Amino acid sequence: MLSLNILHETRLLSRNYWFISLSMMLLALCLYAGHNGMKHFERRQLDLQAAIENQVAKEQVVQEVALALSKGEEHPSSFRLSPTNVAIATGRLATMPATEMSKLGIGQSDLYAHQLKITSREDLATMSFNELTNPVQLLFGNFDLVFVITYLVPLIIIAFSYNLRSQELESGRLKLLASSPIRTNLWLLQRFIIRCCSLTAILTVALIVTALWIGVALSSQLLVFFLITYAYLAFWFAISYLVNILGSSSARNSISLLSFWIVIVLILPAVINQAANSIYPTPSRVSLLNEIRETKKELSEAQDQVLDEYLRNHPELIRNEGENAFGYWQGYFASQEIMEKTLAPLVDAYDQQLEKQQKWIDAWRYLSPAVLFQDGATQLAGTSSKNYNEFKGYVKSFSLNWRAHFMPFVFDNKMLDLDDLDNIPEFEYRSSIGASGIWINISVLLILSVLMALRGLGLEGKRQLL
Amino acid sequence: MLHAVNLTKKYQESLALDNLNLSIEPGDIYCLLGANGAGKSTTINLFLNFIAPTSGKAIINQIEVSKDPQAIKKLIAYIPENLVLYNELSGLENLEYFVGLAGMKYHEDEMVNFLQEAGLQDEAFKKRVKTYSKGMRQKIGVAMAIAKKARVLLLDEPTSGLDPKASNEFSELLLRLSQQNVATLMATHDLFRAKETGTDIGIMKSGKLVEQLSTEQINHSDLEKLYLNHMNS
Repeated sequence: MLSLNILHETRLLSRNYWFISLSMMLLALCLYAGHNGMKHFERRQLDLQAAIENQVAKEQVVQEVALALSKGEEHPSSFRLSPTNVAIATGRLATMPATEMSKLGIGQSDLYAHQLKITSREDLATMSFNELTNPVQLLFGNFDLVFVITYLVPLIIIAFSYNLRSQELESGRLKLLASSPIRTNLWLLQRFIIRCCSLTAILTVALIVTALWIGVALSSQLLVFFLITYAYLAFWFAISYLVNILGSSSARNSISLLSFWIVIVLILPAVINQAANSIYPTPSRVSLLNEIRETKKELSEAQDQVLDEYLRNHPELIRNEGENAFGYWQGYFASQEIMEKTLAPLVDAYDQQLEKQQKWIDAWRYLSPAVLFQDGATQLAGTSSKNYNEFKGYVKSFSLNWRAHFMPFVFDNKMLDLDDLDNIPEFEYRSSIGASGIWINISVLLILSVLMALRGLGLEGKRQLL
Repeated sequence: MLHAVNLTKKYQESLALDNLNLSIEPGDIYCLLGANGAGKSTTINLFLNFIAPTSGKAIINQIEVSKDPQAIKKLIAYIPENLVLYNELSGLENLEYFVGLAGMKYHEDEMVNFLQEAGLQDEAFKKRVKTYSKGMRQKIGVAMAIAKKARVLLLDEPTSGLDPKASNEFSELLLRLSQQNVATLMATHDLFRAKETGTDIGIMKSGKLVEQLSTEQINHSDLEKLYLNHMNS
């Protein structure tokens, strides 16, 4: 029966102008979404390139000064080799390079910074991430390929399959079909599988054409992206199959499926997020920033006192060159560390709440297949919250190392030389977020699809045809 | 071949079929007459296992329909009042599909023979069904029955809405199938066609079989009088 149904569906679909138009529309949507992703990627690369060039130029100047001084020459900008200048003015650039895959899903990359200048002036609590963005865009996301697949493809699947059984029933053809020695639910499942394969093939072609156009090379990650897309498609076809079996009319099927779409794609993700905010509320960001400012102000007003207190905790830094050996910058560096310790409970509480929220969302993402797909797809694109949290962790850790590295130089009042410059810490971000977590998402989507298909088959004979 | 034994179907409080007993042997064409809602279609739906009986048995070829519907459906062909086919496919393609669902596969030449046997014009074979008249679509139904080598034909008002010529052609096809020992149960409102084509006639009223007779026992006008008497009583 399968080969017969394949031939039958091929004939029907190839003569259906609506289906051909739908395929063309899907291709156009993918190309437009891919174009948006590519433009965003290019903007991100340009920003990164400009920041790198700016940073390289600054470091070049410092190198030139160090080189001149090493040759015994005089240089008017010798102040550039002071540890405070290198630590604060020159700094280091922490970057999170965009992968080609990020063209497929913009994800959080338009919300969070993917490049940060690390200096000893940086406030760790505020170095994350600019949250100013278009609220409408925040609600629906960017029009990229992940958006098209998450939001629009399920609607196309619904339009493509909502009446596969009810149309037969309403036209009276189902009685003719059911008078054949077939299991009607199995016959219907085969038609759904064939339609699912047809749409999958069209979407695959559209995605490959788009990927080639926007310059995403074939890679194992792209293949996993295809797989999670197929699993998501299978889920929507499976739910449509079950609704077709349980539903009695095309109108009721379409309303049921659209309700599922609203719940799965819009309501559940919003409810999960809102629940995370309610159960693990984060302290106000404004209060946090105010607290930081207040503490900073207090510490800078009492900088001498702070320096004394700091040296009591770090006696190894005490020098015997006289009381005037330590000045403003030593006090500043000391106050930075003390400020960080003072604010640590507040900042940690904020971060811990964010972490708990993320864990809550991770745990409940199984409620919504749309969240499962989006989470997996943006992870593959390297633009998920997890990627940015990981980058934030790298930045935090590097920032601490950076100041710790310069502390001895600052308290020694020692100018840096070429060797010192060579030994300045380098920032390197290597994502450890692979595809392993995504396999769980794919498996859950496939298991849900299979369970729904089996449930549909199990209803054979339990519901009367008329 | 085809037996109803105390066959009853109730829908909540309404009795759609009340204790029906009938027997149809190979070669018989049994015509069920009756007003709308008399229970004719319910009888056919019970033999097709589209609905389950409340009590009693529908038996085809000594197999109880509700016990092994798949085995039964290999033996039967069903033609409803309005045979809805896939409009975007040709008659030949529709035949291929529905016969294929019955587990049979034929070469195109053989299927052309079935369509010719059913009386469809040659030029229509490869035309899309959306261009077909009702009579042409019913002929595809007959071609399906021939191709399936059906032993039982279940027809639910198959000539309703056909013009007299098409109706007559359809009757001739039934007679040819009857000569091949096919047992036919046909629900119809057409008294004339029932007398002309049928071997037996049953008159139904309010779910009950109120009259059974052989077509040889009665002429056209007496059949009409008998039918109207039952309907008016």
